[in-house]
Amino acid sequence: MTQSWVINHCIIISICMILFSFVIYSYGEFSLKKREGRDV
Amino acid sequence: MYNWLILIGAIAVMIFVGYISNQHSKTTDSNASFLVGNNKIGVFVGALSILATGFSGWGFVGSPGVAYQFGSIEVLGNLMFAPAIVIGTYFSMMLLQKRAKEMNGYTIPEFIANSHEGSKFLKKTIHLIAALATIVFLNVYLMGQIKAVSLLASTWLKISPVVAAIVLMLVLVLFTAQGGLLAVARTDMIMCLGMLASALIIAWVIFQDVSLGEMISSLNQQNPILVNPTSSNPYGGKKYSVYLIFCYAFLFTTTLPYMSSRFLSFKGDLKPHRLVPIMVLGSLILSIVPLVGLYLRMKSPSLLDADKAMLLFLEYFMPEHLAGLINLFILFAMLSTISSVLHSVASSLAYDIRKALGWRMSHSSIWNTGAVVVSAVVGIIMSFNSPPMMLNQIAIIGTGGLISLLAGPIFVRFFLPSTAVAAFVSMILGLSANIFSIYIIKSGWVEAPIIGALVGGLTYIIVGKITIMIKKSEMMKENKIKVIIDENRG
Repeated sequence: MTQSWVINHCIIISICMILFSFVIYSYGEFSLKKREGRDV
Repeated sequence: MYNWLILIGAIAVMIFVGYISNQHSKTTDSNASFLVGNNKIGVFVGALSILATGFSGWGFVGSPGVAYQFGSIEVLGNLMFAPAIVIGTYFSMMLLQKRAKEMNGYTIPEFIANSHEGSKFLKKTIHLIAALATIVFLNVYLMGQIKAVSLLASTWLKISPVVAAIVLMLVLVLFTAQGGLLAVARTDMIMCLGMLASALIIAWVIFQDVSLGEMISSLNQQNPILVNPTSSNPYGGKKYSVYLIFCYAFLFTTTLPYMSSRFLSFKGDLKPHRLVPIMVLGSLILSIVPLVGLYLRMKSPSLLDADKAMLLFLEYFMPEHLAGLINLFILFAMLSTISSVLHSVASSLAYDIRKALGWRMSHSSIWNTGAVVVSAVVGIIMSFNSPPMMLNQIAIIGTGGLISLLAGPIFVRFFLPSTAVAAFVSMILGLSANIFSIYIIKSGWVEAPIIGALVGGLTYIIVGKITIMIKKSEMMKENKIKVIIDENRG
């Protein structure tokens, strides 16, 4: 199958973005819960 | 007839949303209501409205044409907007939202003026420069968008471009003047849902026919450069110049008033991390659209006008009723950007100019409505009657000039608070560097704003350090004099 460096870069960037959103969201929620726990 | 029916239905929804937003954001302070939607924009509306504004009609009409002509590089170029808008939004929300509230800023020019220390005169001057630049540069951008949307609507509805421009702008004026930024954001959200639906329908139609691998192989047989380009043409001569679009789009998200004003209007307790998954998913879906250009190139490699790639795709590869709906959503993509730009221009006209000149701030609702109407009328008149040479010159400087002008006092300000003198000098030199790199170095539209922003940012840091040092040494001198006077008294 023909390889395209452009399409490969697109796929890598898309995967990185999904991972980024997962990390940011999880860390944000974790920090929120931690802060709420401290406030209680 | 079918096209008119779905358009009228969509217009009715927009005006209804404008009315509801007006009811929701009503307060005694009509500026808070018009300029920042009374801070009622939540996660879902906010995320989708930023996406709708950032991914303008270009993604649906211009980008498939470029993909048809230059190949897969455009798919990567368009995709660069996705991480840039998401990271830019998250970053700005973390840093700008809180500070803007502390500084009591309703608009970006006002935020710049309030967040820099300096004399009252200098603060008012930078407020005025930022407002005037917003009005001039965004007005030209507005004209270009009005022209594009009217041409598309005139083909779709089979009416003259002028009538199409008047009808569509009338709708935008009605809901923007009625509901302010909350109406703009809510209608943007609806439009973004339409854009996402059309991107998914387009992907479904294409991948029903061919797989991505088959498309790449077929294009490779036509011309290997289409799938494995050795340069980033039309974005630059080097292979990876396309990545500069990320820098451009990041600066565009964080500094341009019609994007960044949204960050001032979110709910006070909104958590920025909750925007990220929605924006990532949405931006990745919208990034599929340029594949239309590659698909059409594979199917019909000898088009005379590459810009018509999307229109031909809708005409020949899409069922008629779906094509009508997607045409409406493409109009939405353009209208969502126009409404945000119109709101920013009107805000600077009705609020910033008056505030910077020290005029009385009474009758704000009349001023706000008047400014929306005036901006729209000027936009329509100039779109069809202005000398193209003059407009072209301003358009070339356009948004890039605004990015260069505002990069220092907004973007660098996040990390390094500075003085009004630094903001003033940075604005002037940033814009000059942008103009210089366009006309003397002959840089492209992606490189020029990055150069301008770099010059503006560096100037902001250097002049800021110098003015703070001067201020400190003056304070030390004053303290020494005080000590000597005290000693003499003693």
